[in-house]
Amino acid sequence: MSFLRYVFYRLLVAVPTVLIIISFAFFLAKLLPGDPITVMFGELQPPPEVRKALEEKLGLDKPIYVQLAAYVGRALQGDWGKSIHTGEPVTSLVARRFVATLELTLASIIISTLVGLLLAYISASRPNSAIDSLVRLISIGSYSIPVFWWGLMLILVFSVNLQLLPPGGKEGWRSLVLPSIALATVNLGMIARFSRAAMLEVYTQDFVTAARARGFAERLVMIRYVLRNALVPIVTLVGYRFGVLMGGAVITETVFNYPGMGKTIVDSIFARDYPVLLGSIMVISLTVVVVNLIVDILYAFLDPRVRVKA
Amino acid sequence: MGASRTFIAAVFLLLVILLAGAFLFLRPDVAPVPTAPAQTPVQTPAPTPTPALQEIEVLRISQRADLSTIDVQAAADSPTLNVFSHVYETLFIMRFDAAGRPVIENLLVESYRQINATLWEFRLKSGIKFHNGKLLTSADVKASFERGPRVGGMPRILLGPVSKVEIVDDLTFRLHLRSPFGPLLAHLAHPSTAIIPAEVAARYPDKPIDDVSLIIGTGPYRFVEFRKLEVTVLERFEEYHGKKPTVKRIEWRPVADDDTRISYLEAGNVEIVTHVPPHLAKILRDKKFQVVQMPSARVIYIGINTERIPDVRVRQALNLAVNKEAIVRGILEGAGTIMTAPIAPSVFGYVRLDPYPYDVERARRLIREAGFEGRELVMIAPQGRYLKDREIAEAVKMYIEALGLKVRLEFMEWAAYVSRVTTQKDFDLYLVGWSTATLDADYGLYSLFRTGASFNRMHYSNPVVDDLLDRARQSADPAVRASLYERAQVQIWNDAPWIFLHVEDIIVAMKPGIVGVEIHPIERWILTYAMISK
Amino acid sequence: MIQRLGAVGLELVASVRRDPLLVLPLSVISALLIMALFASYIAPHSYERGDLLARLQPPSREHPFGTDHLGRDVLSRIVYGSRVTLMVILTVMTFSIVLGTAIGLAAGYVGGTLDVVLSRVVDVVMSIPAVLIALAVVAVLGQGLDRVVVAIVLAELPLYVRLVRSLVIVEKEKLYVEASKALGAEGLRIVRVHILPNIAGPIVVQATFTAATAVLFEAALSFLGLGAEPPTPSWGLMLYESKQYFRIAPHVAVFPGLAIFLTVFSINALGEKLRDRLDPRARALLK
Repeated sequence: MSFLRYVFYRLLVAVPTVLIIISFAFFLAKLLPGDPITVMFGELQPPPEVRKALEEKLGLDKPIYVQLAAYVGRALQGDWGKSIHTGEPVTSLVARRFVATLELTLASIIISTLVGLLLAYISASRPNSAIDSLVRLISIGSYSIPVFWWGLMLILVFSVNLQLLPPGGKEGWRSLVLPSIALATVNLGMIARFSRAAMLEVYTQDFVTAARARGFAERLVMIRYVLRNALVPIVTLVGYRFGVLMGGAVITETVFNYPGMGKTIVDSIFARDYPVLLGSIMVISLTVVVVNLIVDILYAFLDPRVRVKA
Repeated sequence: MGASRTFIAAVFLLLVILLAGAFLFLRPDVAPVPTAPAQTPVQTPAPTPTPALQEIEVLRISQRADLSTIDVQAAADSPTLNVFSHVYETLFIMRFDAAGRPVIENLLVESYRQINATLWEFRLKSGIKFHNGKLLTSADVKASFERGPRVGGMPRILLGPVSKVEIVDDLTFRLHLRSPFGPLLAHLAHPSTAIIPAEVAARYPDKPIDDVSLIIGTGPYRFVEFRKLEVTVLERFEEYHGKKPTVKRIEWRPVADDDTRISYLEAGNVEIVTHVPPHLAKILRDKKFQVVQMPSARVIYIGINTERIPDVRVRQALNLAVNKEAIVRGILEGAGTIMTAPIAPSVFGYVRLDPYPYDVERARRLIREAGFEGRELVMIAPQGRYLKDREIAEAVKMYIEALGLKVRLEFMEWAAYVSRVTTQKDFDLYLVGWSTATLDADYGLYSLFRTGASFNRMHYSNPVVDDLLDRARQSADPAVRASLYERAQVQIWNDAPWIFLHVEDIIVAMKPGIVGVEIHPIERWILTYAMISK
Repeated sequence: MIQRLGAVGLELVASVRRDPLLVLPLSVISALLIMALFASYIAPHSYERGDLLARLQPPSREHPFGTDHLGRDVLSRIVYGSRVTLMVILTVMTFSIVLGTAIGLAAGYVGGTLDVVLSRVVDVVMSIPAVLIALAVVAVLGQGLDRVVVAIVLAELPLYVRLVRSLVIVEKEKLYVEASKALGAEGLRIVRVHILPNIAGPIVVQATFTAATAVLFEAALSFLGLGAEPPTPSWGLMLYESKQYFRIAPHVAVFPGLAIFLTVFSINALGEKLRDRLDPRARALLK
C-alpha cells in the first residue's frame, strides 16, 4: 500500500470513530440524571404548556434516532449547546480552557521525554548494572505515584515552605511549573522503560556492532547510531502517551486549581452543567483521536513496514 | 529505515518542543504589585481624598464562588449579588451609621410619600443613565418589578407585598400593596430589586438573561467581560449619576480553593480576598495583611424536611445530638457564635433563646420514644459556599450517627445544590445559610417559616407561626412587631424545623494600604470608593 | 493452572533471596493483608469518631500519625482504609477479568461481524482517556464506592477484551485446537480445555496491573470528591479532605498518600516480576 493510500485509509477509519464518540456523548446526555428542561430552569420550573412547547422546540418529542442524528449534525457544525448556568456557548468556553490544558500537557510531555530519554540512555549504556536497576526502580516508582498526592507534596515543598512558586491558579508561566513537573513525573517512567528497550534493540543490530568494530567510541556509537535509530519508536510512544497525559492533566489541574479542561469537567459534574461536561469530554477524546491519527501517519511515513500490516 | 527518516523524526520532535516552548514562555508576565505599609481596615464609605491617598487603576478581588447566574433578578447568593451591586442599582440603599446601625437612604429615588396604608408614590431622580445611554424612567421600574418575581425567588419574596406598579409619568410611579407592609423600603434597597432596562425585561419576560451584552444597569460600573471561573471585569461608568468612583476597573477572580485564594493575595495577584478560612486568617495577620473579622447576619442551619420527619421529638433529638460548641470552637476556630434564635443578633426582632444543649442521652431517648431507631437519613450539603461547610456537614453526620441513625451525605456544587434544594424533596436534611439581607426579622423569618413560603424547604407549617408572622409584617409599630416576632421565634425554636447551628463570621483580607472598602454584616463588599495609600 | 500459579508464588518467595529489591513490595502487600484482616485489633482508635476540639494534631504517642480535620486518628483511618483498598482491588479484578475474558473470547473465537463490531467499539473506547470514562460513569451514576468500582471496571474492560481477543486468535489457529475440532469437540469444551489455560498467564499479568490502576483510580476519584463518601476511610478521600489544611498540618496529607504510593508501587513491582515469569510477550505489553 502506498503512503498516500495508507493516509487515506486511516482518515477513512477515523470518520466512524469521530461519529461514535459524538454518539457516546449523546447517549451519555440521555443517561445523566435530570431531564434537560428541569436542569435548564433549576429553581423556577415552567408550567406544563411551556415545557411542552420547549420539548417540541428542542426536538425532545422526536424518536431517539432522529434526535441522535440532529445532535451529531449540530455537534459537527460546532453547536454544542450553552452552559446551563452562564449561557455561554460551550464551544467558546471549552476552547479557552483547552488552550490551558494543552499548555500543561505539552510542557509535561517535553519534561518527561527529556528526563525519560536521559534515564533510558544512562541505563541502556550499562544494561543490567546497578544503575540500570536503579533506573528501573525509579521508573516503577514514577508510574506508581498518585499524581494528586505528588502535586500536593510539590506545593508543600516549593510554595509553602520555600515560597518559590505559586501553589495554583494560572498567573503567568510560573504557575505552570509545578503542575507540569507533577504530571511529567508520573509519565517519565514509561518513557524511560520503553526507550531503554528500544535502544537495546537497536544496540544488538548489525550496523551498531559494525560501528563499534570499526573502533568508534562507545558514547559516539550510543548517540549517533543507537539513540538516532531508536527515536522512531520513541516518538511514536510519546505520541500515544498524549491521551494518557491528557487524562492525567484532568486530575493534576484539580490539585493546582489550574483552569483547564480537567477542572472544567470536575466542576461541571458537581454543577450538573451537562452541556459543558459533554463538550469537554468530546473535545479531549477528539483531540486524542486526532493526535493518534497524526502519530500513526507519521509512523507509517517513517517506517514503511507499518503500511503493509494495515 | 534510512537516516533521512530518522532525521525527519528528530526535526519533528524538536519542532514540537520549540513550538510548545514559544507557546508557553513568550506570554507576558504579570507585573508585580508594589506593597504599601500596613493600615487599619476601614469599613466606612470613602475617606476624603488626601494627597496620601490615590485612585486605583485596577482592583482585583477573589471571592470563593463565581457568578451563579448572569441575571441579577434570578440571583439569590451573595457572591453574585456582590458583583451586581456594582452594576445595578436599587431605588433605595442600605448604609450604616457611625454606630453600625443600618440606615435606608434614597438612591434612584428623589422623593417618596405614603398616600395610604397600601399605596406609596415615588419620584425618580432625573437624568440617570443606563450603561447603554438610555434614561431611567418609571417604565423600567414597572418592567423590572413585574419581571423579577417571574424569574427569581428573591424578587418573589421581596416584591411579594407589591400588587401593582402604576406609572404616573416618566419619573413618577406608585406601588400598590396587597396589605400594609412595614419593611417595604428595606426591601427596595435589596440588590435583588435592582432596576433593569424595560427592553431587556421585555426580551426575557420569564426566563433568565443569557446574553452578557444585556447586563445593563445604572450603577457605577459597566459589565465588560465574563469568563466563567476565571474573571468578571467591571469598568467605571463615566456617566454615572453619583459621586465619581475612585476605582477604574474591578476584576472579580473567583477561586474556590482557599489556599490558592490566599496565595493570590500573598503573591500580589489580587488585592482583596474574601471568605478567608479561620486557620489561614492567622497566617495572614502574621504576614501583616489587613484582616477584617466581624459577625455576619448569616445563620447556618440544617433544614429538616418535616414531611419526611414529621415527629417533633426526632427533630429536637437531632438538635440535642449535635455539639454546636465543638463545631464553633473546633472547626470554625472561634469564627462564629452558636445560634440563640432563628435569626442573627444584629437583626431587628431578635430575641435571645437558650440553645439546645449537647445531650446525647436525651437525644437517644427521644429517638427511641419516636420509634425512629436505625433509620437512614439523606443529607445534602454544598461545598465551598460557607465557612467550613463540608466539615460541618461531616461533623453533623458524625453526631447524628452517634445516635444509631445512618446518614447518607451527598455534596454538590452551589448552583446545582440550590436548584436541588428549591425544587426537590428527596432529602431529609440540608445544610444552608440564610443572611437576613434587610436586617429585619420579616426577611429572616417569613420566607423561611411561613407555610408555603419559597425558601421554606422544610415544608414546615404551623398556623400559630403563620398568624404571628402575618400580623408582624403588616404592622408599622416596632414594639408590636418585636413582641410578635418573639412569640414566633419561641414557637419555631420548640418545633425545631432546623438543627440550629451558628452565626458565622465574615473574614476578609486585604493588601496593606487599601482603604475605603465597605464591608457590611450582610456579607456585602462595596469597592467603588476604595483608595490606596501612596 | 493453579499449580502453576502456586509454583510461581513459591519461586517468588525464593527469588527474594536473589533479589533483595522484592523485600519491600512483599512486605507492603503482607502488611496490607494483615491490616485489612485484623483492622479492629490493630487500629488504636475509631475510624469514624473524633474529637472536634482535638483536630489536626501533629503526630504524638497517642496518635502516631496525628489527627485529621474532625479529630479522628489518622493511623486508624489508614489501617481501616486497607479494607477499602482491598475491596476495590478484588472487585475490580474479578469483574474486569470475567467480563473482559467473556467478551474477548466471544470476539476472538466466534469472529465475523461480532468481532468487527466489538473491535471497533473497543478501539474507540480506548482512544478516550480512561480517566474520562471513569468520570463520565461517575457523573451518570453519582458518588459512592460501588459506583467507583463500576467506573474503573468499565475503564479497564477494553484492555482485557483486546488482550484476550488477540490471544484467542493466535491460540485457535494452533494445531492442537484444530485437531480437537477435527475430532468433533464442542466449542465451549475447546475453550475450557485448550484455550483458557494457555492464555491465563498474560491475563494474570494484566490483572496485576489492573490492581494497581484500581487503587490509583479509586484514590483519584475520591480525591476529586467524586468517589467514596465520608466517613469511608478511603485514602484518596483522606487526601481530599486534608488538602485545605496543608499549610498548618501537612502530616494529614503525607501519610495517606504514602500508603497509596507504597501499595501501588509494590503491586507494580510484583507485576513486573510476574510478567517476566508468565508472559513471554512482555515487550509488547510495555506499550
